[in-house]
Amino acid sequence: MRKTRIVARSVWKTAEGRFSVVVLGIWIAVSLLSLVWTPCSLWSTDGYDTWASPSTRHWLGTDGTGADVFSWLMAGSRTDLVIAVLATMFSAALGFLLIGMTASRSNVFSNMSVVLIDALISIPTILIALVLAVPLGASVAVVVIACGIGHGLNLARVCRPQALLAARSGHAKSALSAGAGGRYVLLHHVLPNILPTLIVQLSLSAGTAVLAESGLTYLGVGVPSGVPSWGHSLATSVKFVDVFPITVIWPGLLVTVVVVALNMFGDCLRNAVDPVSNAMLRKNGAVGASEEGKSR
Amino acid sequence: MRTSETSDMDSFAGVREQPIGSDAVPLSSVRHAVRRFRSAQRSVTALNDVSIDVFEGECVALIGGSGSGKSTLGGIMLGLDHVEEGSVEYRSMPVCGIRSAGYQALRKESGLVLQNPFDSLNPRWMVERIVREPLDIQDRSLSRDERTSRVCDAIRSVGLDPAEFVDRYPMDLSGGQAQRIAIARAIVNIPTLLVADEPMSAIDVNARVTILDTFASIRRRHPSMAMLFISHDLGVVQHIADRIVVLHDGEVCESGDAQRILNHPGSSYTKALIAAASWQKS
Repeated sequence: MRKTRIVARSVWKTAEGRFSVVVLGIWIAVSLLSLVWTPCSLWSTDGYDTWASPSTRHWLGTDGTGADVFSWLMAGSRTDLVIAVLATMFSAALGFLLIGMTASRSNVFSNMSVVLIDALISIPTILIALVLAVPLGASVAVVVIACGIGHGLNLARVCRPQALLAARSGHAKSALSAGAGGRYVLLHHVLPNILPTLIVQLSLSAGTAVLAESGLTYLGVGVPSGVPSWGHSLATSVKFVDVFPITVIWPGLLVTVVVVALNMFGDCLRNAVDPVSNAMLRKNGAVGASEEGKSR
Repeated sequence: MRTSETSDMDSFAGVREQPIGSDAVPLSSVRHAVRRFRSAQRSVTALNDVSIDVFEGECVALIGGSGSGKSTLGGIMLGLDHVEEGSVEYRSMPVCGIRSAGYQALRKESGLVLQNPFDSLNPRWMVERIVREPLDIQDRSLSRDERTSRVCDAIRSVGLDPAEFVDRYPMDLSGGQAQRIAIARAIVNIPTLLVADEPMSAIDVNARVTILDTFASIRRRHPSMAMLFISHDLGVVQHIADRIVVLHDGEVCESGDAQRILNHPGSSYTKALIAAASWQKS
């Protein structure tokens, strides 16, 4: 409990931390709120009120069908939140599985994971999405699986050196000599030591998933038409960017701000949870190593 | 303290230690061990026909230069490495694979102290959890209070104050303190066999004295505990060892009572090691 408080305080202490917490907090709150309330119905369109400028009735204006942009962005935020969370969970699961193989004491598993990662990482995420779109059609699942695979492989590759160091370290050897098994070493010795890198990579994955949703939806293989998402809002407005630029700016701005906040949050959380970099987590951390004689 | 003698022939053919006037069964025994490490380019024989016994209550020092096979032999005695030829036994039970009875017994009754204290302590754990780890792995029947009490006892027995150290992280410790915490972890389950792999080579001279005192104190407190003390420094082992085994290029070069080896070395390699230790001292 004390540790959680210190971590929260450490994140809040920095300007980047406050910015990211506020932005992500608003994102989650708006997503939840959109489940029960939006200023206008998503399906109420007005052919006489298309491409309207911001007003008291339509806070961010209307799109080409006369639908309220703000309502669609509110509803789209929950789709993007779900995509970001699921894609991050998928990439974490795949990445951790590959890291487990990499850090395995079995050379066969370890070498196999390296070959697997190097072979699959060369396939672009967009190609994976296009292939998946054939059986699945345009859907949230395509974005989640494509991002999950792409980022999971990347995660495993980035964390591999640290995972190997931790798995071959003296503390892991001591645990093995005390009777620990491979799974224990993976969970208690490898995972805590790759956690800082893992946090940054996962926050990047979440941000990239939001970006990928926009890109894939624009290409027609992401979120299907009719399901609100920021990518959908962008895709429907971008053809008219020369005439009605403001309808493109809002979803573009949201995506940018959220991605920046996710990246900043990852960095702040990494610094906050790691006792190596956060002296507040360590009692007497500032004192450093005391002299030998003092404790004798 | 047990003593043993070997003939020169034995020394070069692989040692078989036997306490004088006793048919005691060794606690841990390695017989004619051969271990090779292979890479794509070459094969290195780390151990070649090495035999060694360690009896309860004695401290055997395993000395030799870098690459002589000391750490490999220590790992094999603990069951952390395997032999390609020969056999390993613990309490007369074979140690071959994780399901063997000897291996299972070793996990509960052995402790390991490594060379680099900072590498051997998880940097993201507090001292309390580090020292408690063997208990968490081996003995889940102990209550939390009992474990905490055992942890405090172990930290106290290496000369540190638990109240001051339990909630520190390794990076807030000096080299000597970190090594003593590593020793506390190794003895928290009161092992029968303690393997110390060059425990003093990564710490400064002042801290070495403290660590030596700590080992001596542990031996006094647990007289039945056997210790395999791996070192390349004869100056250190003369203070702690009952028996010395000298390894050179993966073979036992000489072995016997510590005082006999130190005062009357038989092989030229041991003489060179003693001369190096004397030069270092001067």
